[in-house]
Amino acid sequence: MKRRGCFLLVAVAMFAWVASPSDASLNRSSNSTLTVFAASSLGQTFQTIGKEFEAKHPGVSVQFSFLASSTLATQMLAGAPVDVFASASVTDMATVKALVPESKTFAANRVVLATPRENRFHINKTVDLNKRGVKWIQCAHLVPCGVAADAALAAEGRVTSKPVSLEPKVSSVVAKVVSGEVDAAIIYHTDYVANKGVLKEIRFRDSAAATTHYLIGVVKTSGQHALAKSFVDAVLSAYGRKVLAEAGFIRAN
Amino acid sequence: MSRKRLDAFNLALATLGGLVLLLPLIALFTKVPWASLISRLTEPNSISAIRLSMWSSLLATLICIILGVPLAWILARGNRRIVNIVRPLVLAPIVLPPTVAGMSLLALLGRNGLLGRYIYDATGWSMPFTASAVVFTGVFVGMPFLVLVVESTFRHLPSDQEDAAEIDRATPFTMFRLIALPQSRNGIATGAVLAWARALGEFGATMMFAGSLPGLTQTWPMQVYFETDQDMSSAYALSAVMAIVAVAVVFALRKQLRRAFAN
Repeated sequence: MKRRGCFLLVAVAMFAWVASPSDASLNRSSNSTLTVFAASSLGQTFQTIGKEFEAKHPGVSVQFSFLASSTLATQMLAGAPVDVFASASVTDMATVKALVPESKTFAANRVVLATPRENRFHINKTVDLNKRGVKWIQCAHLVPCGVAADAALAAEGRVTSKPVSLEPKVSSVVAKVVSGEVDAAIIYHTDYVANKGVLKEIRFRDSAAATTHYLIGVVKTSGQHALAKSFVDAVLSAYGRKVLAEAGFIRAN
Repeated sequence: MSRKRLDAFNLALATLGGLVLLLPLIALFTKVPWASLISRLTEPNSISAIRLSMWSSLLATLICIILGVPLAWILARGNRRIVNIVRPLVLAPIVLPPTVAGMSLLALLGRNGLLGRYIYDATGWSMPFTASAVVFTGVFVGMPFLVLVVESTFRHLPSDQEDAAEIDRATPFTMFRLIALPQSRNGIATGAVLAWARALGEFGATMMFAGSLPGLTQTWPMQVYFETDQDMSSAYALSAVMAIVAVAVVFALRKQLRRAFAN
């Protein structure tokens, strides 16, 4: 009996805690939530821009989903409720053309080869990936960072070794090279900038092949067009550009 | 409410419950491109994913049997007080979220892992991103199922033969080998099939710990995940076969499963 009472008490306490309105849910219940699907590589910058946006629009909370643009595009085609889509490639924006008829290029980024600072295999140039025993990874072939990686490697032409894993999104690749689980990884320059303390960067010679462009647009099915439009404007604003530039994104247009 | 009304209420909820479990599977089969099923399953990427999943899950099952049966025996016959603490711990992976399972395996065997660090420093080898990581993940998530079922089988063996053997001064190991094992074949088989199905289906933990490379570590469930980005029909085709396997397993083992989990 005693035990059951204890159990009940814990259950009630848990429920009370879960059901009590936190700051975020207060915002949400009183007003509106804007859902933004954004490329995995935009995680940090968009969160910064989102906070600023929330500060300027009291009562609005921005909910992000950061995944590979190709995955997000698939989810959108399957009917995911979303107000704004920011893609890391022209291709994935084209996939959802019917849903996002108008989009603007707002940044560019290029893939680089990154190694942990403790660089056991002394990888200093891309051909060093061919060294025996080196474990390196990149994004899956259809994910924007994978498309750019494939193009950059093809342009380089001298890397004959194969990656040991094709990861579903760039943030998974970054996590594995930052933790030292692999010897090298093809990630974005912006990922390197965010992890300067622990990573070393090696650039590809053909920067055009390694570059991908970011597009953003309002989703046609959004129930809050005006708000979605103002989020897009926030990304395109001087402040948005500043945040992106500081993170290492290349200015587009 | 009258008794009759309660019965009707119960029946309505039960029907709803059944539908929640059944409809998704039925829906899956309506989406399968039956006409092109074989050609989609025999695409090079599908073939290599299926092949990898089959051999790695079977190897994992074998390891589960070799290690799990003795473990189940100790749990069934060991010191009650110790066993009552150990049993929940070895069964924990059953309820562990796959991502947490993946994190745990990385924490142990990653290059900076608890053990992995020493292995890597000594040999330059680390388990992540190898096929052995796929197998290890299968063992980790599958073995608890085998232990659960086999332990229950051992507990419910008729005690007369063991008592007789004890009078004849048989050693515990002899009793295990000559009496308990032969009588538990059914239980071991059931546990092995469950462990196999679990290892075959693992996705999250495998992707985190073993990575995903076609031909090396990209398993059948991972292939489903990646196909959703490029070809939904192929993803449905690959899913359907896994679903058929699952349904076949629970049908084939329906008696054994009821016995195993009822005890």
